[in-house]
Amino acid sequence: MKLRDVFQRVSQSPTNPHATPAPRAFDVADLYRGPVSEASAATGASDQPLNEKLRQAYFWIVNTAIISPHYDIEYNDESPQSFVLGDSKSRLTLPSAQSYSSFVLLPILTFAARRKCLFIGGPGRGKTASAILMGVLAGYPVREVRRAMQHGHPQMTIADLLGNPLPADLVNAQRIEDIRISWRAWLGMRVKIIDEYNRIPTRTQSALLTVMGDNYAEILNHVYECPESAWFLTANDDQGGGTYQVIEALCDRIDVVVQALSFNSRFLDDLLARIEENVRPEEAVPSQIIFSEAELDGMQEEIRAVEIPSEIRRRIEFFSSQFEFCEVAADQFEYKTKDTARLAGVEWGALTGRDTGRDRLKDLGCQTMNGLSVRVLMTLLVYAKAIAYFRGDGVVSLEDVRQVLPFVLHEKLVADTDAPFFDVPENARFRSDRVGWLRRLFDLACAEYDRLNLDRDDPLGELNAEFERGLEGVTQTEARARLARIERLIAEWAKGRKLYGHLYDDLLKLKYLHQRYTNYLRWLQTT
Amino acid sequence: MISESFADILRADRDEYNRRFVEARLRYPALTGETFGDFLLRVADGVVAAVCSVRPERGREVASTLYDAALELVGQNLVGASSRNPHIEEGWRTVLPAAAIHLAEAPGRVAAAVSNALHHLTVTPDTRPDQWIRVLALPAAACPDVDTFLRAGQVAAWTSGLAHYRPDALAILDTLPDPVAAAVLDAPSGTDMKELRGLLRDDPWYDPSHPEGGGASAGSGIRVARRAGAFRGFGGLFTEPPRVAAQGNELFVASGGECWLLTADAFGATFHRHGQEGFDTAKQGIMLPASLSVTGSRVRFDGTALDLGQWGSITSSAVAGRTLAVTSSLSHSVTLIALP
Repeated sequence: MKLRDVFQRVSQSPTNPHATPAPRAFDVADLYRGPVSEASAATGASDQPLNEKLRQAYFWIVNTAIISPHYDIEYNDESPQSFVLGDSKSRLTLPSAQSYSSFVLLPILTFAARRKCLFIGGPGRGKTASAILMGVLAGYPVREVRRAMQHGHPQMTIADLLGNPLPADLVNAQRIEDIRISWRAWLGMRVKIIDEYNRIPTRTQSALLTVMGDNYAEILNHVYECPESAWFLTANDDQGGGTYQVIEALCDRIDVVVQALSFNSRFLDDLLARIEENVRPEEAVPSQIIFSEAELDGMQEEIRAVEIPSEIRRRIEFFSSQFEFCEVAADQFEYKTKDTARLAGVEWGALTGRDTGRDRLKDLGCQTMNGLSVRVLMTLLVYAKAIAYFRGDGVVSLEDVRQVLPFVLHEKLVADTDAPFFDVPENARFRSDRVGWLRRLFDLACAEYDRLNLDRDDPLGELNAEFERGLEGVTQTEARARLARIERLIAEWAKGRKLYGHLYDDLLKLKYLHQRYTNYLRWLQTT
Repeated sequence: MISESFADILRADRDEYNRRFVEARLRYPALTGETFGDFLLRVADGVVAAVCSVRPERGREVASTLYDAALELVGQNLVGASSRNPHIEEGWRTVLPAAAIHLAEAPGRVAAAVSNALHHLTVTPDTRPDQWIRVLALPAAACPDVDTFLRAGQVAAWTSGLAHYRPDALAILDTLPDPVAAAVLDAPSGTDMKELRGLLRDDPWYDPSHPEGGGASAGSGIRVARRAGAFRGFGGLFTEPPRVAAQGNELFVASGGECWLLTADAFGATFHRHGQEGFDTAKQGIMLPASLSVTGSRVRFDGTALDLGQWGSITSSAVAGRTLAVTSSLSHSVTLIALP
């Protein structure tokens, strides 16, 4: 251990204190904890919770490493102060609870949950620097992180990315299995960084897809199994020439997208200090915030253990059910989806032109050109748990979901900017503000959920709960009664109600329940 | 004038030390070379010299560790010419040289422990950091190892006013060699340490430095053992005269919508912020023993009486173990009465 690390310190006090009662039992060991950190702390021996350490890492980065004064992930304990400014009535809100900078928080959550984060934004805004910091947090020396970082470029080959067969073996080997491969070191790291991934040629992108998607690399029938890791990719849209279209499957593997916001000129002093004092933050990361492999494993388990209450799950279900449904895409009920139309290559304008009868301004599904995949929903749940964990909560709140949702869906939910919603003058800005639009979309879905009073009146929820209790002991009479209830509910919904996405999902679920009871009834009758 | 040994060490790793200073400036913008250099010269130099006199081969590592600790302390204005807290600096001058042998063995651990303990004592009202420095410096060299030295420091913190550490400190006391225990307890020479440990365990109001007059059982009557807390305007906690309540052996104090847990014994009294529910729950179970009565401003116990009229009429009272806590209408303090 380097001695200079001994007293590099991070916040000793709780970074997000909760109003827990003071302990009645005191520990005399606390006497020796305080403003001066002791050598043993630098060895990683620490009894603090991992989420506290994660917050310390976040605050160290925000306060020391990255000059990022944007607190765009806003939490409020009470009504926040807000001000309206300018001709366009821009609203500035001063959050009343601990709020965060997405540019630092999302990478930290990605690091903790071992997912994949894409930094976007113009050149020189700290995208690569942030990614390097994540590597250092995982315990790698800065030099190693820099060397392991893969820089996308138009000549990048699969060998550049994954490794080479040993030349001597290529000459002498009698069988392909005898050819040994020199794998690239980055494949074995717990933090993987791909800089400017949109400059990687398409063929090499496919090799990258295998590593990102399936966590292994393959050359000449030899397979390298990669450890579980967090991925950080950067894309520079302003690069000009030399960029490639990123294959869709690769885009789909990215879990969150975070934008590097512009530099605030009021922080020029900090830049000047760094030049004059020749200090690079990534080289001065305090050892107290560096995570061991075991800690990373433990943190992932703790994140998974965070609870998502059923009422929050229902709102996520309701939100996600809005988008896939497309009434005119097919004849058979199950195929009435945007994906059906997309696979058939139907022109989008023609499709929406035929979609009549519904209020296209009110229908949230009309704002998007696609629906949400299973992978996206799983990612949303993971990040909702991760942010709750980061904040020291054991249970996900609605605000947690609301805050992470735009970053998860950023590249996944494609806006139909020709939709009537965007023609409303106050919504026009959402054509360029994807984060704001997604958050608004979630808010609108929640408002609709409340209007329908689904928290209290959810007949399908009751039927589902009944089914979840199991079929053991259910008599023929009872099964028939349940089938009748399902049919009655569908008939009721069919009376003059227009079809919306959430109803479509509910109806398919009712069909599923109906089928399960039908099969069960048949089984009862034959035994 | 800086000692030659320290000057040599700093000179040998000059670039590294300069780099650390620059790094620390990023964390502590108010850190100045002048203040930091002054602290190294006036204080750290003496500590390094003390270590070099007993373990010269450890001088370099100790100096490096102290340098970093000093950066943290000066950076946070906890020591140095402009600091309002003289005790940490005094601890460096007195305790660290006295414990040079332990500092040489585990520099980071010992330097941080001494600094943090003094910080802890300094920020806790009504404690005696100067006592901690005095009683720990005496037996430091006699402690056989670093762990014993640090355990002695924990007991000394209790006797210097951190009453909430009483249970832990009593347990640690049993593990200390008798001469070390006697020194940190400030016990008169010739004290029977086994008996003393028993007295301390049995009676929270027993004071070993005053074996004749201390203790709840001293004499047959009741006595005011301590007054704790004060008006916020005078640096205390309370915005209005407090009320007390007890639950089991715990005392709760409420004032102005806030609540604290109060720990108290012969060595001190400390308040710990607590949820209001602590006081509310305790209040419901409030009950004095039959032998004890509180009326007006008087407390009666087994035929003896105490008049607390100077602080007004008694507004609340509670018993926890051998302590009666009372509050009065004209006072922002809690009066703690030792019960026999």
